[in-house]
Amino acid sequence: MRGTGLFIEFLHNRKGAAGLAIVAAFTFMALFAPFISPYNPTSTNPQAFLLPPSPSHPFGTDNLGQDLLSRDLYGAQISLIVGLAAAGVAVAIGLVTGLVSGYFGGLVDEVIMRIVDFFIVIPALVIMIVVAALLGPGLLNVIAVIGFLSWAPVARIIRSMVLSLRERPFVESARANNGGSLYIMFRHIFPNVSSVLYGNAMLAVSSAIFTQAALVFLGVGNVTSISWGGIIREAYTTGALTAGDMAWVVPPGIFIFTLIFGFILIGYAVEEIMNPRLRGGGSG
Amino acid sequence: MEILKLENLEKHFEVHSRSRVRRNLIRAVDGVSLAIPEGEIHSIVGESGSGKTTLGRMVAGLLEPTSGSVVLGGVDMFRSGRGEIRNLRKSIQIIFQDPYASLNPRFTVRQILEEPLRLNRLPVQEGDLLDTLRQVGLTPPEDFTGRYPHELSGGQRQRVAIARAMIVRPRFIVADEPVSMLDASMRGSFLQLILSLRKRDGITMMMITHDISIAHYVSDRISIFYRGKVVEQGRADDVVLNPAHPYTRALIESVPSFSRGDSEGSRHPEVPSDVPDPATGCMFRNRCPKAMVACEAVPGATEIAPAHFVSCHLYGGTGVK
Repeated sequence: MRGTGLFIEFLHNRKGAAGLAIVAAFTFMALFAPFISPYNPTSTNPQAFLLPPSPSHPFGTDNLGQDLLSRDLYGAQISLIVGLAAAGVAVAIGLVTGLVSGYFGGLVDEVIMRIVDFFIVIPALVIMIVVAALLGPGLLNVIAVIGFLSWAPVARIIRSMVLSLRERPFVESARANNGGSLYIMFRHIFPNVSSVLYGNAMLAVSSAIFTQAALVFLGVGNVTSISWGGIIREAYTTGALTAGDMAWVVPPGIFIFTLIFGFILIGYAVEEIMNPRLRGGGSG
Repeated sequence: MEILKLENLEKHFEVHSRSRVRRNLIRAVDGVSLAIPEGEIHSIVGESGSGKTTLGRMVAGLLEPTSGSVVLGGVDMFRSGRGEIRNLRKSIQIIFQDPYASLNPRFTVRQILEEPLRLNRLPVQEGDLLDTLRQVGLTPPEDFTGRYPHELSGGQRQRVAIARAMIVRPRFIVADEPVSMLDASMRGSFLQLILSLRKRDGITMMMITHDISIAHYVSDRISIFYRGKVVEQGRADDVVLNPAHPYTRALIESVPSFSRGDSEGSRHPEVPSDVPDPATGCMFRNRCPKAMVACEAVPGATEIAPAHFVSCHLYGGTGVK
């Protein structure tokens, strides 16, 4: 009941509706790529390489004669899978460490926060390149690398909220009634950080999508699977980028940008909707 | 028979100054002993920063004292077996000052009331729940069980908070400024509610407040708290009508009244509040209009009338260096 009310409110929020529309469009693209693509994205055609845009190949073809529109449509799959899964990993780790760190405080907090500082300070992309190279290509490896290297900001945000929540009288009341730490963390603290968590999860998805594209572009991970970063990489390595073949590079670039923007819009909408409620429920 | 006994209770906080060389010790609660007989309401009156909330948190078991003991019904809250302490926590409930912060915004009224029952492994009975809501004046109770705190007014929230404390049938309640966040027009009915619950269930209560007129209205006995110490203690009427300690007098004179101040208004100048605390002796002496040489020693408690104690050298308090 409360959930559907919130969803309706979300749809009435302009940013939320726009973000949801964008993400829905790309999800449709990813799921139905086999049906809406005019060509098989991996079938090469020696007679039709490096074609400029035309009615039969709206974005032209690449150096192997593969249809670029088809490849761009298929590219949505990897971006969404890696984006959602890596963000899931990052948010899960960040949530647990943030809860533990903020709730228990003391030495535990000190240790966790120094680890968080480490992960925030190091240039993540560089570490990702090294680690991904060591782990070898593979979708799961990319997800793990992005996930394990981007949980720190989530942990820090959650921790700061927990620090204020754990002192709230409703928590003290539960504690005075023999409520244990686990009970308080999951019954009282987690539900009150969840709104911020959802907003941040959306932002984490967008940054994971970007990171994945960047890694593939740099040649890390599986460069043979079809992804937007990979398409741009191929344009770069074959010299099409320098030659100014816009139809090869611009569409995947716009897709990356738009999908990221969609998730960011959803994230903002979630925070906008949840925050006044939190303020109304918190201390006056 | 007394139900609650505090023995030389102390809570000190260490404050690290920036230099890290000098450590400051804040004596939030500094040697408090008092006994509250069954069925009585005992008020702790003091200004903000006097340590009265720290005292309340220790009594509710939320804060471990530096030394001393809290004994409720013969059981020491911090030096007993786990099972005994669990039982003790069940029989002590706390009502907080801010009804906007004391209820989880994600819980319905029903969940809020069920929580203490479930945590204390007591049966959850629909009838009890509705009865308790009715007793605190939330009628018809069925209209409230499904609501979230943000759908309630401040007064209704505080009623829910009181209901949460009452539902486990506690023996003792700590009420920390229960009416200070409520509209003035509502305070009277809340104090009446507290009195009626006491009458019905025979609950013993410690009420913490900065408002001596509220303390006088509801309590049997009053302790005046200053800088972590009880400076005066006695029956509510004795303390309010015959205040002995200069601080108590200042508190009473600061209560605004309807009579315009001209006639008797400037009997006493208000005590200054922006002076530093002395390092030794009577903590009030820098603000005290009657400070004297003897005040450099800590005053002991003197019984100036039956069951009316004052810690002040004006009444021959024996000095303790």
